[in-house]
Amino acid sequence: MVPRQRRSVKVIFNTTGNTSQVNGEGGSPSPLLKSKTSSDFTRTITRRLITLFVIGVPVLLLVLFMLYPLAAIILQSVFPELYAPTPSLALDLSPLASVFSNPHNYLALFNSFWLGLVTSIIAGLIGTLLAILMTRTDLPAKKVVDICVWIIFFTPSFMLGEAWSVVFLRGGTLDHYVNLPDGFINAFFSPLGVILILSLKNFPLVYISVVPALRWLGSEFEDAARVAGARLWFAWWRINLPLLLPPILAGTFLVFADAISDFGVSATIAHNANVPLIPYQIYANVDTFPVNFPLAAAFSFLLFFAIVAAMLIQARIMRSRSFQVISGRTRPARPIQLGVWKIAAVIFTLVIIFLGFVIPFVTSVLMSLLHAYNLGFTADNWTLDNYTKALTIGSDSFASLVRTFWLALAAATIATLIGFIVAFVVNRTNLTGHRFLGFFTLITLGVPGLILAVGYIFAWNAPYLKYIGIGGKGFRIYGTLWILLAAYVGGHLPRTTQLSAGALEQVGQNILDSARVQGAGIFNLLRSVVAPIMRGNLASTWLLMFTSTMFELAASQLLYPPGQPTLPVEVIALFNTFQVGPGMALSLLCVFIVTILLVLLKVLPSLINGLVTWRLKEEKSAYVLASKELE
Amino acid sequence: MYLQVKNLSKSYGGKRVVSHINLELERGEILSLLGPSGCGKTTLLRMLVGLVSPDNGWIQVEDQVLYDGKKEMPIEERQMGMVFQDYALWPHLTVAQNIAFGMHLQRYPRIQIKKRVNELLELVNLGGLGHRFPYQLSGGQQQRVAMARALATNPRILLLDEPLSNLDTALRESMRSEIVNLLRQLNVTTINVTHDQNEAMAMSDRIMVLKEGECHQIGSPTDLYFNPVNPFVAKFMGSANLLPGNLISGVEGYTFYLKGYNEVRLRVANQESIRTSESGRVNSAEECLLLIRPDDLQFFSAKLDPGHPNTLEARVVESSFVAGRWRTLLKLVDGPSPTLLAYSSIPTTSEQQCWLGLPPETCRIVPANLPVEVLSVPDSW
Repeated sequence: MVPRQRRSVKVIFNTTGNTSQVNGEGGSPSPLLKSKTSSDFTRTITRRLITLFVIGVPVLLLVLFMLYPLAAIILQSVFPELYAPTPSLALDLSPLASVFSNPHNYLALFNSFWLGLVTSIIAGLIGTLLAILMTRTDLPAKKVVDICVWIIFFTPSFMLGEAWSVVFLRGGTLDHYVNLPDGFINAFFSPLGVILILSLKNFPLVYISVVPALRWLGSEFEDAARVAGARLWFAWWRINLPLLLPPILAGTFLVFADAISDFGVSATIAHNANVPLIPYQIYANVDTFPVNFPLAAAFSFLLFFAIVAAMLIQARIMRSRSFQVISGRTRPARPIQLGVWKIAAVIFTLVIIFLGFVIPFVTSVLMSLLHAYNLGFTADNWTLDNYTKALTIGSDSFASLVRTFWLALAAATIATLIGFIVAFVVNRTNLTGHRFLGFFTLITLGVPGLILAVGYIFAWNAPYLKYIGIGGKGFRIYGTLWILLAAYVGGHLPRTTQLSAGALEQVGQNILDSARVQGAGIFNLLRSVVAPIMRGNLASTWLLMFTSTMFELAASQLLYPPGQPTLPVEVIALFNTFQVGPGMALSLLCVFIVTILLVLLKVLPSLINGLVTWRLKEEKSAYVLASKELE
Repeated sequence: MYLQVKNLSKSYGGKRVVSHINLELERGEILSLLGPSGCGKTTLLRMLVGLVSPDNGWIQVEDQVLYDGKKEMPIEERQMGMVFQDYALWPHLTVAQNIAFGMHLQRYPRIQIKKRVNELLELVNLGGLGHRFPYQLSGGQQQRVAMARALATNPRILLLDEPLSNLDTALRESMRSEIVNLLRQLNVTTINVTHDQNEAMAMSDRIMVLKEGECHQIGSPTDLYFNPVNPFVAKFMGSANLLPGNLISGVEGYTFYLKGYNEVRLRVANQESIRTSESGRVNSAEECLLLIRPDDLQFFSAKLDPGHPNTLEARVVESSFVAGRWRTLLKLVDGPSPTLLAYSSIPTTSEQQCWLGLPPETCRIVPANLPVEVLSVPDSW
């Protein structure tokens, strides 16, 4: 027998009816509660089924609406006859070759890459400099600038591009008063203007990437360098900038991926300026006569390839952030006294805000209040008609607004929920394929709506689908709003997954393990423990997805069902028929809705439930950095 | 047997973390897994609960097999309770909700849950704090909540992963006895992981000493303290003076020949402590160690009369006043033996000559190099 040590036990707890258990040898376990039978077969089966469902459905959606369409693009680009009425698997590399051999195609490729490169450098510089000025100096009104940068981040590129185009339009409002010289207008409607718009639109990506790193960095490294005898500029050059390089580069690569795939700019200002870019080439080849699917596929494939490369480099850089190992400090960094440089800093900030925020928004608002954009600010040209028309129930504009609102609501909710689950599967389970899933959502992070939509055209309008009852006389998905919803969800999934994954990393493994030990299956674990802890993050992910769906142009343009345009499609249609006023009014209404939601989600909870947020902060300090180690 | 663990092993990338562990537990027994950090004790615990998959082995509770070498029962179906090192209380739930979580999952009636939560809160001295959030509690209170939560679902086995290591010393001692009383009272079968030998001794019926994934000895606290099977266990269970030498069996009992001192012979009266080799007889050629705890080592500043058994002459190396007595480091005169530790009631000076008495009944023999495989088999097998 096992030796048993006798120990004197003093009873300090006296609970009702339990004293008989004191010093009990053997005997039955505590009878406080009757335990249920453990190996209940049906219950085990139910649990397995729930697990399968919780994990299977999100993975299936990811496969159907992301993996399959992307595969279709690659297949289409090398098997041009695959999606023809009579499919054939004849390998033909001529579409890919024609991208490089046809001068017009080659020009688009060349333009996209060099414009993207220059844009990312300029946006990188602006974003970094502004981030440093806003976090570490004694400049006034930093909060206002920060809000402006975020507004620019949320503003759709087609609105920015159109607003700037209107400013420089021959016969436009500005021209009406100042009579712009030809050289000036020509200079704007050229690659130069495209770079300007793309840089202004994309620098917030770098800013958003660098600001948290700067906050984290604090001033201690710099202080240490200065104590060692370095001047301020030298400390920044040799200490802080190298430490900040990873977030700067990561942001810059994001800018590159975004710039080369931006459909809003390539359809507005670049199109007006006759600068062919890949996104517009793709669009033109699938949407306007004569269509050339293989060529569109080839372009998409190359674009996809470039973006994946940029994303992989970005991810590699972010992972190599070795300095992040040092624990976060809470002490705020000392602001730098700018002295004489203050004037230069103020001018720089003002110029950026003026170009990126004030001019486009003032132009948009003015245009939305005018009958005709070329008649100037005369008394009879002012009007509210553009707004009343857009808000008239039954009008096309209003219908598109409502349609887009519901689509965005649904897409954001589904994508956030599924992304959350996929993130959990990738980061916190050992299921077969979880690594592949993680890799896949990472490389597809930068896949633009345009490419995805092209993939949908191939994948979900394929002739062979009618054999399994999809399309034709069977169940229709292509050409309905469902395909649009699927495209939005599919396009958002990699981003919601990565956003959730980031927040999930902060949740201690023990908190999850203890729920498992307590008997929680995967469904209960996600519902009762993980989701409530991550609620703040899920809310902001949702908002981000909602916003980007409201302004999603490329996928909508290619996939909207006939007669049911979404809001951005409607706006572009108005712009293309020179109805600048109604278009701007509609865009601004959309911006207004998004702003309202932003305020609701960000401000309301903290107003109503100040206590809860306070509690969350407390929780963070105690739990969020709980250890993940094994031993 | 209530819990049976057979031949349980786990490696990480070629490194054996837990190696061929055998263990049997009776219902209501409290076992501590004791060892230095990295010895695999937490991994062993996590394999029992299902958080880590073993490479091979067997785990069985009563007549239910949890792991048979291939298939594992999912964590959530094992009906175990666990208290984590950092307590892992869910920050978004109140104390009462934390405790009720597992019962809700098992679909107990609401009224019963409420009653049970209040009982448990009373049991761990937290009555009336059910509505608080974990962050509003002190470390000791959080610890009790974690305990109550683990006990709420009537676990078949309660697993404690260094439950006291996040508390300060004073609180640790009081919590230690509170927990033991609670577990005794409820007759919960418990496995406790710790690296603190005092905690293990105060809390357990039996202790398993682990090092580098291998079980070195399993037994009651007194057994481990007085009859360690090897030098590691001897040192790990408390301060130990270990002297190398040879044991010779004679007519009047056992005599220990101190290595390097041909003239010195020590009488060993304690027969229990002498582990015989497989043939059942002490192998005199075999080197072994003589263990005497510092508390048993008698310190004399004057020469003893020749009739006094087991005396050694030594010199003081260093002396410091700790916990009411003089902690004195000594070196035997004219010999290679290691430094010895003794407690003296009087202050001494460095290089002072002194004499040590080793009462024969407190001298124990520890095998120097017994193969580990032989050691890891529990007595009952």
